[in-house]
Amino acid sequence: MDAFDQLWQRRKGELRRPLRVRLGEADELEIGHDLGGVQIEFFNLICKEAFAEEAQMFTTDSSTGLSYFRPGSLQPLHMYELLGLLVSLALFNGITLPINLPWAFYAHMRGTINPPEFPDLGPPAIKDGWPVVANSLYSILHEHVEDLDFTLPLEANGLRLTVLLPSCQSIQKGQRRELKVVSSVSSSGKPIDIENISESWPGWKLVKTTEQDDIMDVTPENQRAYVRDYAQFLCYGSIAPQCDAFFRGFHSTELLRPCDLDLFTASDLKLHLEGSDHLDIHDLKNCAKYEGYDPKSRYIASFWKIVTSWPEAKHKQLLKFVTAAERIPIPGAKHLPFVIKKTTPENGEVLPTSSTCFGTLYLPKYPSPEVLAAKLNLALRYGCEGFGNG
Amino acid sequence: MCAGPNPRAHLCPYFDASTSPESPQSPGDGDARDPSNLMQLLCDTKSIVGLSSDVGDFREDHDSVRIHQKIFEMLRVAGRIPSLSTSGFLSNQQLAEGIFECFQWLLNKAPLNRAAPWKMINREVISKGYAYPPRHENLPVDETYNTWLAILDVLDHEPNLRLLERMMKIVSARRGLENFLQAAAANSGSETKFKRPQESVEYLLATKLSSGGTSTPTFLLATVVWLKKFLSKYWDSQPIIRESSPSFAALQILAHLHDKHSPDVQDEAFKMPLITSRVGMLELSSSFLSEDRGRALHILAFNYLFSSAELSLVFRMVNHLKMR
Repeated sequence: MDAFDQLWQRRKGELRRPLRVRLGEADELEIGHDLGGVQIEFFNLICKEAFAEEAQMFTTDSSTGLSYFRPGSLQPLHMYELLGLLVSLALFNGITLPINLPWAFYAHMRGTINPPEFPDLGPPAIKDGWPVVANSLYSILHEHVEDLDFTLPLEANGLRLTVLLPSCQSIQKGQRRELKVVSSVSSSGKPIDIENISESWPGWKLVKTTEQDDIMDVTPENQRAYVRDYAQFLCYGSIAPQCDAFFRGFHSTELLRPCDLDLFTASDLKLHLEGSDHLDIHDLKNCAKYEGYDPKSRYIASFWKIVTSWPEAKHKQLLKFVTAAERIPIPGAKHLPFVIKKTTPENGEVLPTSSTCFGTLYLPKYPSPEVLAAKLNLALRYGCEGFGNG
Repeated sequence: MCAGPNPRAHLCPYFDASTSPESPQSPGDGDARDPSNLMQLLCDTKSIVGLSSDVGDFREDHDSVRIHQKIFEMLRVAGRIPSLSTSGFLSNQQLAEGIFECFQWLLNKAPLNRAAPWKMINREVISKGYAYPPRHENLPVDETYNTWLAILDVLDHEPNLRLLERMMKIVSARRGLENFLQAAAANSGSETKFKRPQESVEYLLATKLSSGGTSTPTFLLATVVWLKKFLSKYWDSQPIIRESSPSFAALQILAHLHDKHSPDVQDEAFKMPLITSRVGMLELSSSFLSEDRGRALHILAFNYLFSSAELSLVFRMVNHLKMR
């Protein structure tokens, strides 16, 4: 919240300056000075908080690992706006974020803040984030399914609703978007009167459908339109207030022009912002630098032998320990600083430490490879989170 | 060593003097080429000699004459304001069909039977702006299987490139005409008098090109490679591309071809590292920041030419420059 408070007060011109983050209380003996590592750590913490289930802002699919806005989220919309502002700052400052969002999110990011047009949406647009639904929609396109109409399911806040596709027209900030509800039951199957909760969902006004609301059946003539509407509902319609708020915050900084984002396709933009999850340890080894150690020495050879024997998850732990980065940028690990520096501590029991500001691993010379391996394991186990000595 | 009785044997172990084309004329016969010159000997591949020997028969090659006349006529009318009687005016569709016919004629000069040599040339030579593949080839070149040398000879043949330039000028001229009419209508306050065609010449041409390879799957790949070769020769290495330039026309056609997502050509085939090696990341980024371009586009607008890593780097540099 401190970060939000500080950003909220800034003029737009100030946001153009290089970002510097100070973690820690003012009266602590040591405050982190940001030379790159601290801001990565800061955004890692922000994303971890925002995308956690407890925050109720995003929902994560356990099978795909992708997150998306939570339909009917009870979090106030200004939280999404602030998150959008932070994502804009991260993108502007070239920081990769430990998030996993579907193609539709980046397609929206490349568009404008006004409600997007989705003329060509269909199963391909949602196959990464909603693979099961995409397969079902594919089959609807190729064969007629009986007893289907233009209503859409929405599960949120313990309720199961059947709704009509909401309008995608732009609305003023502070206005509520109307969601027409055909039927509403609780998770136990008990009918719920939505008039009691009409304005309890931020950004929405839930209203019952009336006789004038014509609910069409899906026929072979209009099944393409149904598939398009369903895809649009998943990408935007079901989370419109949250999506609008996020991108309002994102574009409010005016740091990124539309033509800047147009450099990328949606897939490339995802790759740029999220980086890659795959770390090639040999890539890292080839671009590592050394201070006080000879790269060809037996000790360094032992170090890399120990590291390369680890699973990939532990390689990424090492990377995070040294650089604070959880993801690898598109050009590869060579764009992350990774320095192994010799230290000569008085006490031979000390663990290796790191300075994420400089991407440096302070590695004492231990008496044997076994001791080296044990110390590294301990350091990674306790030193990967937050700032300080873990 | 090179001027002995069998001068080419040491250059290529597979050279067979009995099957080689006729030796070039000796000096003193009025020929400007010096056949004993080493560079001349290296350049005198079978296909080059074949291409050059057609010069004397040019005027009797009816196909050639017809194509050139067609291009001349299209170039004459493409940029002309249609008269009230509309005689002589060619629509975008007609222009696209005419240029497509010329493309077919040009492409049929090169071996299209295998895609692999085209992919190799695209990847190792054209995209990087080299003259020859940088690594040594183990297989001998020939005209049926390992045809990369024959392809390069056709691509590098100056008359072919000039013909391609004139085809691109047709597209530029039509675009220039449409822009002019639109501006004139806007200035006179009567925009309804001119309605810009929904489909531009480059879009229609790209549609025909992408569907014209049904008999020859390599056709589309060869088109892409040839357009990239054209770009490497005629692009002036400036990051801002004027709409009136033939390079712009080639880039637009490539953009439409890229958007077709044809299975015959992967996205990788459109990448061109030559761009960043000629312009440089800093100039690319700083020129991209400037908004005032008039009737021109920045080359980054054609982002299919760049890899994800290059675009990522440009994006970061643009943002760093904004921080100043």
